Amino acid sequence: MFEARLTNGSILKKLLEALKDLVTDANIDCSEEGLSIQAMDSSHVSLCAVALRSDGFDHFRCDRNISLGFNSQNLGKILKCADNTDMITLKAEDSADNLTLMFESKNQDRISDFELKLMDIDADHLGIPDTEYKTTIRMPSNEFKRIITDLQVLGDTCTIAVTKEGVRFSVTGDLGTGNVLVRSTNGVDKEEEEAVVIDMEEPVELTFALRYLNFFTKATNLGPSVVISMSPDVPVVVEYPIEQIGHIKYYLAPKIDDAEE
Amino acid sequence: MGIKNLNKLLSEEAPECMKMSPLKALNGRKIAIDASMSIYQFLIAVRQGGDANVHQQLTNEAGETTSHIQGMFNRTVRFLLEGIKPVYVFDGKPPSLKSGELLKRREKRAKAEADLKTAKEAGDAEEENKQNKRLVRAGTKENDDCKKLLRLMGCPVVEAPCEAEAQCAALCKQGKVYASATEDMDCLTFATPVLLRKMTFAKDAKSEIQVLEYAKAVKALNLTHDEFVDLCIMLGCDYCDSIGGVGPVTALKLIREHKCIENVLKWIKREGKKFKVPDSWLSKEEKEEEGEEEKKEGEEEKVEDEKVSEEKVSEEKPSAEADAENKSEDANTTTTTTTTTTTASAKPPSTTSSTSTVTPPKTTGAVKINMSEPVYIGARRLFKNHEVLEDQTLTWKECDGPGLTKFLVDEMGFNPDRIASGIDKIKKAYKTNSKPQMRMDSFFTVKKAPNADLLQKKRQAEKDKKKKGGNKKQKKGSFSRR
Repeated sequence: MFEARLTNGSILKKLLEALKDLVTDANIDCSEEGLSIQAMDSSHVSLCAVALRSDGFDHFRCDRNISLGFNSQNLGKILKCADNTDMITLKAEDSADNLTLMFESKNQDRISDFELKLMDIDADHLGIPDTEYKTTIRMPSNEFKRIITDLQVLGDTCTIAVTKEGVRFSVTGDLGTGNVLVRSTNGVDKEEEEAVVIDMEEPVELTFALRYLNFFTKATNLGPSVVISMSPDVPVVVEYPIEQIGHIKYYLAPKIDDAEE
Repeated sequence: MGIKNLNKLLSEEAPECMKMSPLKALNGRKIAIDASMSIYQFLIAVRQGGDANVHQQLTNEAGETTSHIQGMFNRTVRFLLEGIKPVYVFDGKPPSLKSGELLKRREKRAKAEADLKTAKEAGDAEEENKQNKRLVRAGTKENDDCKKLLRLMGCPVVEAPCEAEAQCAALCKQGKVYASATEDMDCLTFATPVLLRKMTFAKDAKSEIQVLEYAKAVKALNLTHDEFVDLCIMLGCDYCDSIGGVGPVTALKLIREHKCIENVLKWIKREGKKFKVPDSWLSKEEKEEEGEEEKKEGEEEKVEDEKVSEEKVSEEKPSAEADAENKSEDANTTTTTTTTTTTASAKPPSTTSSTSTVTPPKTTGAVKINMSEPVYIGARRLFKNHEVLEDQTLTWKECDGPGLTKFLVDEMGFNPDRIASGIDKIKKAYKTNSKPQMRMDSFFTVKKAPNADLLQKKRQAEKDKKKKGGNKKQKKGSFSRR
């Protein structure tokens, strides 16, 4: 038996919005610790990992570890039926073929329940080691979204370079070139949410497909800030912390200069 | 062609080694493609003419066939656009052990020729199309055309010293490419780590590719590589006959029990089982012995023979069904880009054992079989130590636009606009590939999914259920017959 209730149901709604363009099918892996989702896009270029801790839920019960395989478009459709203020309860039997979603409005005057047919998904699961990154950038998620949207006008590949000066996002395309430099706000008196904090051990420069970065910014509504971690020659991590409950992390493999040819 | 019923056996006994995957998932991969197989597919499938007419291969003004060039060009452009780097591998000389198989194919060819004649006289267009396809041959010219085309497109071409499948598998094992792409199941017997099938998609259809993983297959079957090779030989390969009365299920059981063909043969002899071991499988001494025994047991054998034939019939049935399935599946996938094909009769040579069309370009007539050793030992040697090229360097170059235009438009009479747009696409693909997108799995290792064990249990349960259901049906059937 698995049951989880979340008073702030909008988190689940936003989470699906953040997933559904990138990932078609995925498993929700449920355990005593909480919920987790790991899935790759169809080209296996990026990976998305969601973790929601059990203590972040208002009620959480998971007797046996289960995996609930869902189609993200379909789950998204059902979650659209919930209001932003609704309380959402997820329920599934241990060997169930269905996931029950119950939406209760704030003053308990409307209770709706939906059942989603589950599917068996055996996708590759990747083991992601805990690594120390050479640079981490914490910035407002809105700001990051804006930069990515702006740069997409000019081209499809973007270079992110972190130096002492700040973070430089640059793009080159048929139209011309574009650069956005974001400086650290250290020392400037600002709200924590609006601050840009750059933690740099050594300079890093990597190139990415803007298409995928744009998919990542669909998670902007989940939190006010985003944390970008980079090291040379490894995938970038774009993390959106979700309130008190967990996070959604996106990994994107860089584009590299082909050395062998 | 290939290993008889191996695909079916794997889908039943080791479903976890097979996966359907979209073409996109191969983005950034290098893939060795069995070119000879592809050329046949194009020669058969790329034709014009409506349903009721006799179909014609595409030709240029001089009357030379261009179906294969058209097909090869379009498919390669598509691969490049998807970020796939193809290496084409061509067949060399066929191994001498294959001569028996080749002889059979030639016989079938002769039969097809005769059937074609009757069909023509009867005016049966459908039958004529069918037989026409059976007569397709890829000769040296077709192979050379494709090699020239591919070199102009900037794709590496490898000429295998012997069978192309073996070379593909070798490239894959050396880590030069990610996977081998062919319909031929014996590529798996050559232990290619990854085998891709059904890469014969229509341009915008959502058709998926079948991905087979060798390591998972042998693990699920619980066999070693040696045992797997012996299993394939018992199932029936291109290089020798197989034991009569032994179907896929029995073959797997016997190999699991006795580990190798030698032991299986000993067991058959010891237990006096009613399987028909072909003469070529016996060593010299055994043959002599057998001769004496036969005289003695003349009477008994007659009875046994009947049993064997009964068994054969029951075992052939499922395979015929499988073939029919394959046909319909392939019919869907072979409708290639520009030309119409009659779906009902379109079938690539690979999957059906009845097609005679596949003959490697050069058929060396000389039959050199070492008569003193049983033939399966030779087959085993071929599977384990095939003659392949080592140290191939594969480079993808920029395509030669003017060269392509000259070859395709001036010599082969293709539409200049279409070729120009194709060349644009290749150039664009080359540009994006010069700064290739890395894949997630090149950084993080694949590990078992949390739900893997559960899924396997569930599948096993379903399989058992099916088996039970099947038995019930049979019982019912026999009841009603009474």
